[in-house]
Amino acid sequence: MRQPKFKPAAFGGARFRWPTALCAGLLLAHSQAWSAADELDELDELKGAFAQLQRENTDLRNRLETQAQAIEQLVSRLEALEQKPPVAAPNEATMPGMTVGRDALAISPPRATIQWFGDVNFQDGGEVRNDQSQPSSFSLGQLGLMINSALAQNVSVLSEIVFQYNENQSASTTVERLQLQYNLNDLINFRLGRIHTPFGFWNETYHHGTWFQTTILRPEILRFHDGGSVLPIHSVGLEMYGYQPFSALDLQYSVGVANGRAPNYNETQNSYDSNTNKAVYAVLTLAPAAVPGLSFGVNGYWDKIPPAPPGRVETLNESIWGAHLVYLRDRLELLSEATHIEHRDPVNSQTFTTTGMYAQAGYQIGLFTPYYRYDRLSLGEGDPYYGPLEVTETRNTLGIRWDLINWAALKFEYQHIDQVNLSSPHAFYTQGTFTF
Amino acid sequence: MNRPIAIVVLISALAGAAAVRAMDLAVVVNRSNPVDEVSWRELAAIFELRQQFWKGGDRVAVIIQPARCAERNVMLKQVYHTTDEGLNKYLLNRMFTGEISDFPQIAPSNEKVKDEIRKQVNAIGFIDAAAIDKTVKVLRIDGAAVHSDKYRLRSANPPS
Repeated sequence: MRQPKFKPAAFGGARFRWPTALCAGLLLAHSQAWSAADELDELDELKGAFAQLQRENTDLRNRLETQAQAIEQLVSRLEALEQKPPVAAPNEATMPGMTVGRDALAISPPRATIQWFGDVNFQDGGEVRNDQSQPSSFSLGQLGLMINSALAQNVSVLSEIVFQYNENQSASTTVERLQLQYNLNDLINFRLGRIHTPFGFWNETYHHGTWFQTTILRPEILRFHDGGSVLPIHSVGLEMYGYQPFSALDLQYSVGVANGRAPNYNETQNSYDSNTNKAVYAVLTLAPAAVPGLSFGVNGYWDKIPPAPPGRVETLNESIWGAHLVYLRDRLELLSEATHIEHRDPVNSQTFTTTGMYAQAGYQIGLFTPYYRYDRLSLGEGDPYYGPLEVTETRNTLGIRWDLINWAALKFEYQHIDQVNLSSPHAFYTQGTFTF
Repeated sequence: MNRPIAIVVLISALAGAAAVRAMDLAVVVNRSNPVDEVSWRELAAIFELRQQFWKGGDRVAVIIQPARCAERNVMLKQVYHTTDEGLNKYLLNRMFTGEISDFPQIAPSNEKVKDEIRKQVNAIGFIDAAAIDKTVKVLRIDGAAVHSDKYRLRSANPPS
């Protein structure tokens, strides 16, 4: 079936066409104007939303940066805390909120390294007491307590206290060292207090720690006789010391001023000086770069020894010269020192000369170190400062050190002693020495 | 020589070469440390605690690795010229004579050494060169960089 054609005129005829078109045009224009306004509104909304997002983005960035900085600070603090020693657990009996012990201090006290050194001995021969040879004996050696603490980056303190039994069986406690140290740099350092007088090598390097030294006994020039030594091995004063490397050699030095010698040779002037004169000393050690392990040097010590009435009424001028040659490398140990002591009486121009020297060699083979030492001391005849002390002898020492564990060693020595008043030139020594 | 035998010989030679490969030891400092190079003598002086200050004046913090580890063994042989027991005695003696007031810090591994170096501006330590990364600065020794032919701090071909 054929469909009729649509004819608008069929609804109203020709007289309704213009108004209809006008209305339609108005409607269309209105609708178009309405649509443009909507788009502008949407654009404004979008602009607003975009600005809001920008603000939020900026805020977030700022917060992220702040948090990143906070995290960095926390990490730094955590690292700093990790470096600190652990803090002891608080006492459970403590009241909540209360602080005790080190926690109560704004800054923790300095830590200290404590180390003990000791030795026990057996000896057969080699000693004379009351003009008679001493029977074979067991003996306690020295028990030394070393405490070392850094008070600040450049300031430290070192103390050494020695407990021992004397030759008359009485016990004694001695502050062997108490020194405050300031380290400016490698070249300039200071120590103040009671120190080991820097005579060459042995006196500073080993001293009371027999565990450090290969042999049982010290060299005669540094050995204790009647509680004292021929040399002023301790000084109370101020010392400057340092180390400086050069292209061809390393240099080490010490210079010092101290109370000096006491009226009696076996005393140290710890609490006051008996005369207005101060002792001065210096030591210079060189280590050539071409021979690693080798070092050599010279030392000097000058003082005026106060009188010791009624026995000695005159002041003595003292000058000490020394030299040392040392080689320590790998397992080989070569030590040698020579000392010349001169005491001069300015009143009658009399001079007394004491000389001493030793040369020692050792070589470590596994846990064992066999060694030999030639040792000689010749005391100035009639020297009023040493009084009745008569030690002129030559010792040849042959021994072996056995480092049976890390911190303890056994030593066995035979000595042939050439000394006038000994009944036998042979002596045997055994020592157990340790640190803990 | 026929081909199978030649291959076996070549593989054996390569395996042998790998087995005796030298371990280079890198000396490392904090990245902010201005030092780029040390001499062999300086290196020994620093680790033997004779030189205790950097040229700028700050105190050197020496970090060493524990006993029996490969890196420390190289240092013992090449720098300290002693055994672990000898080093114990040496360090204790330095303290006994008052020349140091504290022992070197011990870091138990290459990673821990680097951690400590990163934290401590004045620290110096040694690590296996294979563990080098950007967190630490590696020092040249006598002008030679690690892995170079003239580099001396390695486990094989010890310096005379």
